[in-house]
Amino acid sequence: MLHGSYLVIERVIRIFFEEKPWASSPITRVVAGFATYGAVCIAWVFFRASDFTIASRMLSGMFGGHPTGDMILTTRELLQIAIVTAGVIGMHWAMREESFETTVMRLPAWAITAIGSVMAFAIIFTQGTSNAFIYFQF
Amino acid sequence: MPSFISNFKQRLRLPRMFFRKPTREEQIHGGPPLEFERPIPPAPWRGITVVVTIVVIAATALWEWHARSLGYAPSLNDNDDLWTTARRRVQPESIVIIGDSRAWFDCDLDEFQKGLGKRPIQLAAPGSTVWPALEDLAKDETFHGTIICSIVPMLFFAPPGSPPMERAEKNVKRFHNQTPAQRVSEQLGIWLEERVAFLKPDDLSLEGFLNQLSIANRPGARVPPTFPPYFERVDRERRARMWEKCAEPGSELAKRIQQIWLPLFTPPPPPSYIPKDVFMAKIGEGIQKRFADVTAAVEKIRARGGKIVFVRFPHTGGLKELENKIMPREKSWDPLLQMTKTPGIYYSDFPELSGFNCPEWSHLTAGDSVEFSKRLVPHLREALK
Repeated sequence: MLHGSYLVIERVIRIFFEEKPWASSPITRVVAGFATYGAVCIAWVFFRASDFTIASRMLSGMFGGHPTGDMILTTRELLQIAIVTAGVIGMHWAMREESFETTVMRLPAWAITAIGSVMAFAIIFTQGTSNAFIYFQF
Repeated sequence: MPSFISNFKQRLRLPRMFFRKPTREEQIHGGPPLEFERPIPPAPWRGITVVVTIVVIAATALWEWHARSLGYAPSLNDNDDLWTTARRRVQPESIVIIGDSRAWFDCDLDEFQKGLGKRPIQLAAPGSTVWPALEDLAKDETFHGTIICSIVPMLFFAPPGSPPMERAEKNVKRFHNQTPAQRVSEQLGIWLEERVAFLKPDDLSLEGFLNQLSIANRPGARVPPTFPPYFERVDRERRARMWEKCAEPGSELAKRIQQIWLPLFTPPPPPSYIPKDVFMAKIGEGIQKRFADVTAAVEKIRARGGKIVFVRFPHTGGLKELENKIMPREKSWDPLLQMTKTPGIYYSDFPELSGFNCPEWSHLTAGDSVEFSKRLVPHLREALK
């Protein structure tokens, strides 16, 4: 439902603002990118939380609802989240003007081989418990 | 002559998804694909696939060799799916072991079978509280067997929402809700884990290595204590045996685990969002509720002809001192037996059950667990008369 609502909002915004001169300025694109990221983060709360009570508690925390809450994350976890998030956003930003296929096409064969090898071994190396993939949990 | 696959694709009008040479337009286009099919970028894919396969197989073999050189061996990972396979074997008259990791390490199923006439089913789960499994058996109207229930007070009284409670609830939930995909996945997992040594997610995964990084936490951070590393082997019956590396005299691993138990068994300070006296009153209420719930569950099982015996398994050293200080016997074990009117075996009450050494203060070695079980059987028979 959230995903559908987001698509509706995006289409409406496009109708009204797509032709405006500032619509394709770098600042607008950065703001739009972070707004999309924030919207996705909100939607993911409902995947992560086991029920609506926990989901609403998490959402409340995301919007400053727990100003004096305990610090429950380790520094290592914070660093990991920051690095992965920056990496994902960076990749999306770097590839914002072209398709994935074009990016791959520009890479030399040895780089595709190296990336493929690292990714395939990472699947083995980052072993987890069975059924870790979220779609298997429905 | 068209192949079987291409003929099939043609008949079903399936798009040609793979290994199609992209058109010139697609190669220079750079934008979204011009048609529904995603173009495959031009690259020597066959060669790349072969090299990647060779590299990954070599890296995996090296990783397996490294894991074995560190002393790791193939062993099952205990999880909610493995617990579910054991829970499924419970018959109306089964002997079932429930509780925490002490019952998991210290009970030898062969000795129990010899002494009690039936092979028990191991449902004790490490780091978990017993209540969800006991409640599940009490609700199972068909069950009227025998329960051997381990008691570690700090875990027994674990409140709702705490990690020991969540771990135990996860097991019971999986038993009731396991999907066919999860069942098949577990069987595949068992097949692999019985052959591959590096499948130890807590120790030999990226997450395991990241957890070992010594990065200081923020002052005042309320982060959970560290969990012990891998130190047991588990088989298909969920029988846990202590890893030799931990069991050997003067083991560095055992010493490290000893120091992990102390913060893990120390109750966390009250959360900041609730006054301390209110929090302590809630804890007191929770303990009384647990006593009442367990008593009701025991009566329910007993009313159907079932039997239950509580067992306190050996613990030693600093952990024994800590447990006895935080939750003394008079406030946990004694009232439990009185309220439930159930027999109990406290290991230190019997000379033949005392004197066992727990290398890391909490569990017996694989060898000692056999001897301990042999000596425990007469007491169990007496209690279950």
